[in-house]
Amino acid sequence: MKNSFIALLTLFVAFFPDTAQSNERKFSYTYETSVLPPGAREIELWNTDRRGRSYFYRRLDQRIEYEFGVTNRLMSALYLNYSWRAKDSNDDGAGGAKSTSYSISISNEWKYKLMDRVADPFGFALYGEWTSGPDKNEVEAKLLFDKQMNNILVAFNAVAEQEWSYGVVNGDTEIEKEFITEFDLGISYDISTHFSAGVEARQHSVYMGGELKHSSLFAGPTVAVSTEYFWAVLTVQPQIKSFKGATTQNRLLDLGEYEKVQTRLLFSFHI
Amino acid sequence: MQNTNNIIYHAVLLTTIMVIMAQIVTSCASSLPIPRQEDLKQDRYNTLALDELRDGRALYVAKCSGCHSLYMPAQYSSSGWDTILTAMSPKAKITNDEAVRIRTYLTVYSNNN
Repeated sequence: MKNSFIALLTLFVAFFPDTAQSNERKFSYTYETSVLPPGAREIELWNTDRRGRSYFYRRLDQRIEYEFGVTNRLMSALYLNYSWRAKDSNDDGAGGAKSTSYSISISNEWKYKLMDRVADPFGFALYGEWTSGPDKNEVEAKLLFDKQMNNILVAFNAVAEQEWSYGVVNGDTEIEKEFITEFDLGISYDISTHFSAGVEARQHSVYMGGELKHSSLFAGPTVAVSTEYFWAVLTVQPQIKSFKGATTQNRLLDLGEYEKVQTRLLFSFHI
Repeated sequence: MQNTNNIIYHAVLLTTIMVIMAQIVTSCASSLPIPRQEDLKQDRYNTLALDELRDGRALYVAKCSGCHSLYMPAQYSSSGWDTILTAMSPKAKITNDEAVRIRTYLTVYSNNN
């Protein structure tokens, strides 16, 4: 089904070659500093598959993003976010029934490029994003760095995020606050004009009440393809090591807060 | 105490990553040539003004880096840049005047020199 959808989109964009303008990405978790030119627009489709906890857990996060360039240095984007989860209702262990839940939210991002990754010693951009939904609000700030060295692209992000989740416990509204930090590092090699391959690592930490509750390192391969009309990136990130909150017997992984593997596919075309 | 350890751990991790990044960048960085007066000393360029080249560089960064990483001027010959600019200008909405200035900058630093 997904393949058919991608094939249809490819055919669709093939009929509009004169408007080609895109902001291709080499990584799916790590952001780069480049911004869309003023007036350029792009649609990005995000799919993140998350599975493998200490209990039955499967989740699919999807985002539809409409990006547009504002000036030579500034761009913005609007997102529609959708998340579908199926899990064991007894998440302390096996034995519950399957429960499913959905959530939907909207986001808005702004990115301002201060330095270019080729013209300057390194690329640098500021990034801000807010998200709002019925059961969650988020504010996120990122410092983006990257450097293109011939066929090699290195990118690094430092991320801070504040999240407010709303729930009901015994009839009372409960607000759960989480502070999240994330460091992303990606290295990619251009095999040809259209293909690149590399690795992406991500360290994600969750603080609650000022105390670090969970922290894990993820790393895995990433491949990207880009043409004049569309680009796509696929990254598979298994959890490598938990620094805080490990749940497995060998204390290596945290399968309570995080999954064994996350797989993300980004597909984008200009409009 | 636990919190302090956590903060120290994250600060050390971030610093380590930044140092590695900085080393990579400083050891391998090859930035886009910045026009200098001595670049115009060759006879065939002595009618050009430094500001023209600086303008061309600024336009090249502004118009081309949004869609892809910039290529170094020395990666192509001047005729190679002609072909590329002719193909890319409509897509990047580059005007004729802008294309002339970008072409001038790229030609001076192309691999013909």
